[in-house]
Amino acid sequence: MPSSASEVAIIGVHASAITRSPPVPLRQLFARTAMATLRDAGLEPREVDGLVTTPPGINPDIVIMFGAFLAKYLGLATRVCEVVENGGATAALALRNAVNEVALGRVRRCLVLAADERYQLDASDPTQLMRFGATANIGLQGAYDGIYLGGFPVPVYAMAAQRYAHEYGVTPEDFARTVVQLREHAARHPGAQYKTPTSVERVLESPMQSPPLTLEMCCPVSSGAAGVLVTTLDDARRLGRPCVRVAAFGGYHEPEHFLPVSLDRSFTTYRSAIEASRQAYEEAGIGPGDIDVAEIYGVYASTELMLYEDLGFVAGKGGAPAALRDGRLDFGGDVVMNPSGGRICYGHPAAATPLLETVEIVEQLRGRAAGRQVEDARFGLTHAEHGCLNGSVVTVYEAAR
Amino acid sequence: MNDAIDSFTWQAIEHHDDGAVREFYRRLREDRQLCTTRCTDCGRFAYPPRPFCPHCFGEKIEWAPIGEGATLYAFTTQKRALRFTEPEVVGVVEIPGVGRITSRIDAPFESLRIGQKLAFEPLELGAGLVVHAFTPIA
Repeated sequence: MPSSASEVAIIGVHASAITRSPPVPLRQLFARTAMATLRDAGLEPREVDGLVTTPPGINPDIVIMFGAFLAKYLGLATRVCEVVENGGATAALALRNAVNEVALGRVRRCLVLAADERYQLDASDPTQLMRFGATANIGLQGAYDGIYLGGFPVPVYAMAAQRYAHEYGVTPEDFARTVVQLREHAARHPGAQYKTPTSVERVLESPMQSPPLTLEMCCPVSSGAAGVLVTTLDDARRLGRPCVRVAAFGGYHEPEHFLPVSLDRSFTTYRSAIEASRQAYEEAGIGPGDIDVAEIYGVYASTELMLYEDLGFVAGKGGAPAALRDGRLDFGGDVVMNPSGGRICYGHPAAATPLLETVEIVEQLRGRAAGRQVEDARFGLTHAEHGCLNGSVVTVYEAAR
Repeated sequence: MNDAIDSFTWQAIEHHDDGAVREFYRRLREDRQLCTTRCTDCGRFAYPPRPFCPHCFGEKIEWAPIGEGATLYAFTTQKRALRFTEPEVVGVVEIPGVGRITSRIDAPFESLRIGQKLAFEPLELGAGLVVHAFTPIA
């Protein structure tokens, strides 16, 4: 934080249940999330003067001026009202904008809202599907790669997983074991999408999507929403609310989108995660060994393992499978990774995911994560990314006692 | 079905033309060559091709064929995709001095291994769209 800026705290959070299709229409989901977040913060709507939000998911109804529409629908008068977007990191950037505005004193109390719903296409019109698919592929991956990697990002991550296995001797069983642990965590989260226990054998036998990734190694299609209320630490103390201090941010984006083209970049060591976490640790004045609990953006089992290493929780590339086997990344270990169940089992409504991570860390650091509480948690971390780890945003939080 | 997809794909590609996109695909279709741009100031390749140099922001570029010395860097198949679903293989090809480029790999998945030598071949799709593929060489 700049020396002139105030310390910033989170005093209210809410996460909807994560489901395949949205439980209610999206605008209602935004409204319910806003109301529950303010209730948790003990605030009235007129006591909020900022709204930072995300586009309403990958949705055919995307409209310009969505922030203005949402402020009107919610009845909020604000000093800052904006929509922030950059792929999977979207909601983390929304939180960072809100924290910056509060730290600079331009806004007093800022509501951050994020929601996503899976795209609902009219399957009765195949030409619409094709036109959308072609446009989306080329738009997302570009005029050169979009032809080959169509529709879903699975093959991109699959090739990174293949390289990880090739370079470090990681096995499909290692990938599967990661999912088993996340599923155990999700079973203890009331809002998680996939809670049924699984096994290494079952993960390996689930349908192959893109070798070496099977269905259970992939994040699901999800809908859901999250809300966070940001204010100054002084205000939080004055209000007497249980709160968490936002200690630091770090970010890094490399000039690549999805698979890196440059020969000096790696498919298996994510520079964005290394650089963003290094900056965040430095700003917070701590190291990865000080983090008690983390929510990270592992959308595939292989990515999950690589991120354990690149965020500094495991020393040495290729060391994550052994650390996982030894229980060092679970309850009772060095650090608890993804106590919510992570992107693969808790669920992954992309536009909202980083803020869902924030909600989990805030609940952990306030000691309110019933049934999955990390004991004496003081420092927490969230990680968000976009593309195929081309950009990362890392946030560090500290329990305010 | 594929013809309709390729037609929509070509429309989407043309929509994103920056001067280099059309030329890249024209060279594939008419010259049966895989080419990209090289900066005449700093001498470096850009892939994908661009009408400027992303290394030095120079504006003098030339087109050059690429693909010599290609090796297989990674490969997979896709259960669900618009084009090239399993058993067709997609992959990343490493081209010395240029970069790692996404491509179709023209061989069965089980026969492939990381690091093997590849050669460029044009692949004709529908709607006059010709794209690049690579195939293993002995």
